Amino acid sequence: MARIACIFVSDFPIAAIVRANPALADTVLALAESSSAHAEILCVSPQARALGIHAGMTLAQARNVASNLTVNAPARGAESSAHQALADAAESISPVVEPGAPGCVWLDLAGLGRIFTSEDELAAELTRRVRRLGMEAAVGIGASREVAAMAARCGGIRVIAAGRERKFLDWIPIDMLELGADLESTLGRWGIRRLGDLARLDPDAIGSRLGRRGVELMHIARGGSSRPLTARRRAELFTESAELEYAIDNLEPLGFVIRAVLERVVERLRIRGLAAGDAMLALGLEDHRVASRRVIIAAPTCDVRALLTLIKLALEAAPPEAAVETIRLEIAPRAPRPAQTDMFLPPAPAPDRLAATIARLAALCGPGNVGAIRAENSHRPEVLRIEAFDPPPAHPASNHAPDKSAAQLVMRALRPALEIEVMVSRGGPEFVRGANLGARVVSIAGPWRRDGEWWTGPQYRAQRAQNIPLPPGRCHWHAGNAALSCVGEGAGAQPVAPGHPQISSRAPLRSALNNDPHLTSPFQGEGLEQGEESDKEPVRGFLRDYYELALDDGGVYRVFLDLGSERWFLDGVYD
Amino acid sequence: MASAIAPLDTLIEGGIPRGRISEIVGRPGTGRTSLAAAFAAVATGRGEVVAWIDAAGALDPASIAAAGVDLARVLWVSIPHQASHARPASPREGRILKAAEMVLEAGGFGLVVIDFGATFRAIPDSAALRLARAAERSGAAVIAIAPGRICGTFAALSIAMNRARASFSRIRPASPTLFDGLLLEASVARNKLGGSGAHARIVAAIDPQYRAQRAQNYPLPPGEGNAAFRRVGEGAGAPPIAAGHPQISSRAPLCSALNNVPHLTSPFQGEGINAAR
Repeated sequence: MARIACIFVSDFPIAAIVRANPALADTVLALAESSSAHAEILCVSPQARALGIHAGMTLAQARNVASNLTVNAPARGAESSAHQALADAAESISPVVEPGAPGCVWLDLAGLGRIFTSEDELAAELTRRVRRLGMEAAVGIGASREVAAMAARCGGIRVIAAGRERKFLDWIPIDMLELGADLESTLGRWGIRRLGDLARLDPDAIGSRLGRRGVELMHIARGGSSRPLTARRRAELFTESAELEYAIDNLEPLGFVIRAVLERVVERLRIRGLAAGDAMLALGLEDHRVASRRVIIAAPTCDVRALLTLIKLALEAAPPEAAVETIRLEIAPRAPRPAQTDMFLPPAPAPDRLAATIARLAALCGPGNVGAIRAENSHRPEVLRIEAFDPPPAHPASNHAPDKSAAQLVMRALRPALEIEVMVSRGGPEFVRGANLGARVVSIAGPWRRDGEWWTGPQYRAQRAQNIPLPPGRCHWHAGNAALSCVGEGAGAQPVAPGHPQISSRAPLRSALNNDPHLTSPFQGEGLEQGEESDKEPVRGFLRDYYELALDDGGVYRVFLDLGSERWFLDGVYD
Repeated sequence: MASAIAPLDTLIEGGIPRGRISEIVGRPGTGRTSLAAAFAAVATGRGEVVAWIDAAGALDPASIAAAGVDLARVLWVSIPHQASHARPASPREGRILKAAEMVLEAGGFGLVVIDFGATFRAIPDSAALRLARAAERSGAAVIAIAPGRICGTFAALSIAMNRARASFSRIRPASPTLFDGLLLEASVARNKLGGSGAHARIVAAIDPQYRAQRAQNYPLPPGEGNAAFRRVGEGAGAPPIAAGHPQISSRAPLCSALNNVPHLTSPFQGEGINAAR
């Protein structure tokens, strides 16, 4: 027999507001659409109810009863978030969850007997998790949705054992089914006050008078279920919102409000065993516009402080244009990186701590300054990219790295390349002068020509799109000759059309062409002099001559002459 | 933690200590980054995770990868010159140390390299002490690269670097000049765990394999001379080159092209210096 649990939060609109603003927890609170004296009260808190205030009273009547009455407008966003939070609490226990009316969520308990020793323990765990999300919930467990819901509406934790549904339902008032005023008055005229009264009637007689609805009621009253649960789709975004009483035009107080919103989202993520990925902050402004800010999270984390700093960074980089009235935060959930430690493997950072550390580092240094650095697949040596840092699993350690007699020389890059002045004589650099630099050239190697991305020019692309050969003066090759095709021009390289091999750079192409008798080229036998011919065309991409210069200040530098602009740059020092 | 460079490991008696701060000090161009990269290559080769806190933003991924560092295991943190909006009052040195402490607190890193860039001012004793304590707690080896001694008495090891000479050479008399590498002088300025004052000469080469071949006087096979100069760092992420597709973006074909152009030969023709000899 199926076992269904129902999580129910009474006075849900009030509970949602108190969840968003815990300071209202012990106040005499009522919800009304407006604050005028004749506005009708929609919902009241338990403290207000204890004083005799109830829904349907006007605010003037309620204030006569309690002068300290706090009146709020219903917060639809907070209710929606709270309802999602309830579903998250349920989904942290069972994969089959069906959200019902606001404040009511069902979950299927099939297979959970291996995790929880008893249904009472499971129900207690559910209430604990809902409490972590800022609400007090009642939990009912029964054989059907309706039995579980009615058990939950009774308050606290109530488990209806299998086979005892009829006994439980006997005394349940008929209005707990919320059948509607017409049907309730009809049943009232017949003297049916409780579900037990209904269950004892003849189904055929009820069916002939009330139709299909009557038969369903009979079925429910006898402990049956109207339908099985329908699992909800897993949430793709975790959303929380806050509506401010007064518009905020300063980022510092706004940070406090965002922190509260963020804490609620993070707690929901924690309960689901997830971490925060990229975030989208939508701020409703006083002038009815919406300012959206996308916040990139370098590594999934649940560290509220780091997330808040990143959001503050995004806001300070582009502050909202007007005072903020509403806040809506959407966070994409990401699974935290699992890790299995091994006694025989070198230690690695714990995934959760690593993610939190990366997020904090990103907050300290900027999101684009933390990650795994990679050389971009390009002929421009200065191009690099930053990827999310996700180290691969460690492999068995080897303490016996082969000893080498020489180290690999590494270059320190200057980003961006420093423009310098170079005195040239006898065809080579002789003196270099720049910021904090002024030295005579002692030794020189080069030039090494790097030429690329000329194929991104509009003329070349248009020709390639039309699949026609390039005109004389550019270059010719035998279509399909594999000796000239070169892969790895970079991730951003344009795909090469069939029959058009991708040439990596001009100079090597000339070299290859010169050496291959099967290939024809306008550069045949002319070496680099053809560069002068190409200089007549507008320069596309880049064309550089690189030198390695030993200066008399003691350093060996890499400099290049940009042939397009005829300017010299220093882009690194060998260190 | 050893560097797998025999002269250096001999000099520092096996390697740098874990849980302590080691300094590699010297002017830019004295091989400091190359030595730090050698330690990082060993660490990542063992499967450890390395953090490289790059105050200068000077890490060149292509040459670091060519040095054997597995970049997938390196967490790179660049400290921008300007403070972020969230921490406008935070000085740059403070952010460098804060980032280092964050990494060390996370734990699990085998090596943390802190490149202080051109900062010459020694960090305050209180900050150095905090850094040393964090290193001790995490058990990670910490390398500080700086122009001068920066951690004072809290550094367990301090290696002072100097450049002896740069090596430029030619394959044959008519060929263009090539930059081979640097001959470095390393001396132990301070060593809490051993003696100080020792010094050694270390070769940092553009292509150590080729240098080793030349050092042993192995003649290169005919026709493979250019191949020895092929640059590794044409992009760490470069896809493998299919058979029959020569890597024409390397230096090798350019050399051969230059050989065919008489007026483009280097002005230093015949003046190559071979520091290794």
